Amino acid sequence: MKISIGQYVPGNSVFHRADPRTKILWTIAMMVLLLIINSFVGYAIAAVFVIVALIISRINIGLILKSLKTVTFLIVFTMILNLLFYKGETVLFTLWKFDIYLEGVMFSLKMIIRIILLISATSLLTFTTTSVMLTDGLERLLKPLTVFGFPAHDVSMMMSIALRFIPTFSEETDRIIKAQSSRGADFDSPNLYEKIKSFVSILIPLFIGAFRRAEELATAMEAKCYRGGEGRTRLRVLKFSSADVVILIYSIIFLIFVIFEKIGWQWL
Amino acid sequence: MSVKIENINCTYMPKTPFEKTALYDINVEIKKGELVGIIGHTGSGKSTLLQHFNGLIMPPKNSDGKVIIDGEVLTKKNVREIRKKVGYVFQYPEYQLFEETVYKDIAFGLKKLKLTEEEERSAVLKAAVTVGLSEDILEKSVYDLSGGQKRRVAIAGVIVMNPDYLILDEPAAGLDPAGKFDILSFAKKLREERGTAVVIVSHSMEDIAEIADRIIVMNDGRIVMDGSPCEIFSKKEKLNEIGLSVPEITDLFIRLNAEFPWISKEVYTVEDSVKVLASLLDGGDA
Repeated sequence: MKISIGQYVPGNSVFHRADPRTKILWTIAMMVLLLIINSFVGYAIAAVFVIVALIISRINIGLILKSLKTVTFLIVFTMILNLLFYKGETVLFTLWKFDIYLEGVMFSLKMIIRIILLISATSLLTFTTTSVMLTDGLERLLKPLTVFGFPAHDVSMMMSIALRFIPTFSEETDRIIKAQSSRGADFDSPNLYEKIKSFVSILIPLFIGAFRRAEELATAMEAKCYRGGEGRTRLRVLKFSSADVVILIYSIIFLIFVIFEKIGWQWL
Repeated sequence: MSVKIENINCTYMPKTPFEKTALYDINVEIKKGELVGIIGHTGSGKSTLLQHFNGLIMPPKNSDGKVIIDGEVLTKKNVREIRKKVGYVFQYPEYQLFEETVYKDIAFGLKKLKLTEEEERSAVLKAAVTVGLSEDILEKSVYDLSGGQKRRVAIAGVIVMNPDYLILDEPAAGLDPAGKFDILSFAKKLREERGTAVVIVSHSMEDIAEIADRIIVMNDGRIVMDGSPCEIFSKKEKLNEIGLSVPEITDLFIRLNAEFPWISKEVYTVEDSVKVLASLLDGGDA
């Protein structure tokens, strides 16, 4: 398994103990707030809040950096686009046909900070929550929508099955790649036809395997008398605890800071 | 002529909370023409070790771990050549079949070799016959075959490259007794006819005793025993300690020997037992 984004890391911090619902709401709140903030002062405050949260959760900084590494391309890409196409007033210098503006530099810097903060804040959710807890929390949060006929249980069941099989398929892909390359498949051949042919040799067995597993799983669920969410009791009943209060208070403090940052400190 | 593993260590997901060391300082040599059985309980590092043999896992950089095949050190550059020499059949190999017909699937590995059509055809036929497939199924779809036949097709797809060394990771798992017998006897045949070195991983001590002339026992990422079936299976206590056992027939004769000391306990296959019992009936003391 090489996926570092979203990999659950066991631990016993406030974040690990908190209810998944709290963490989902915290993630949504962080996303919204980070998108609202638009000044360096605001980002500095947000950065302090995110870093403190990361320290509290005792997640290895290396893991966070690793998940940031996977979005390096996105960061670099947005930076270049913003630098080249942002129209401002103060021209810093001209690069070939493009004027680079001071405002553009500032704007792209803000974008970078925003992306980094977003990734770090949201990866807290997946680093501290097992996929089972995550879908449980999501189901509970979506439950009010069942009034309007929204299949909350089915959606969360599908999600948990999908999440459950990610490592399985990544392992299987790994195994098929190894098996095909040991019988002569050439994945870095310069010949395009060869290359495509080699990838077909991975895709077909992978798909057949997926269908086989889906069928087996369906049979197994039926054998266990699964009949949807109605009347189902739970092994883990979600309960709010002191950890949730801590995160809630923390989020509210952050929210207050953001509001002040938006409406201006002079009102104080 | 041999595959040699020198000072190999292997750690999965190093420097993460999931870090797991699978192999510690492994040194082993498989000579051409040997038929080696590898035993060890699940998670003892068997598959990890085997995947070093054809460079599916490379020795970690900046370590003195090396894989030497016929005197040539395995590197990223020659790995494709090496894989022609060292065939690897994975567990449940039938799950990697993907071509429309059996013939095409067996011939998949040959495509790189730029053979003429006749050469290719004769190589495929030879491989098919070796694993006991009849010619008339070659044009069938892979998905119309039974489990045992699929397994043979997959194995044929590896031995069609005519490897000098063949690694079989639990080749008989999930097959019926007849299918199992066929696969084991073709492994023997391959060694006799082509001089191929065969390495077989199995959880069945009976199968290993039946065919192997050397047994390697693994436990917790280390090779703990390496010797002839006789040497390995005479140490029942040591095997039991690491969660393995001796063949059932050996167990029986060990018990018989405890009651009747004149009966030999060095019996590892049913065939052995027949000989011992026959000579007892003849009045000798085996």
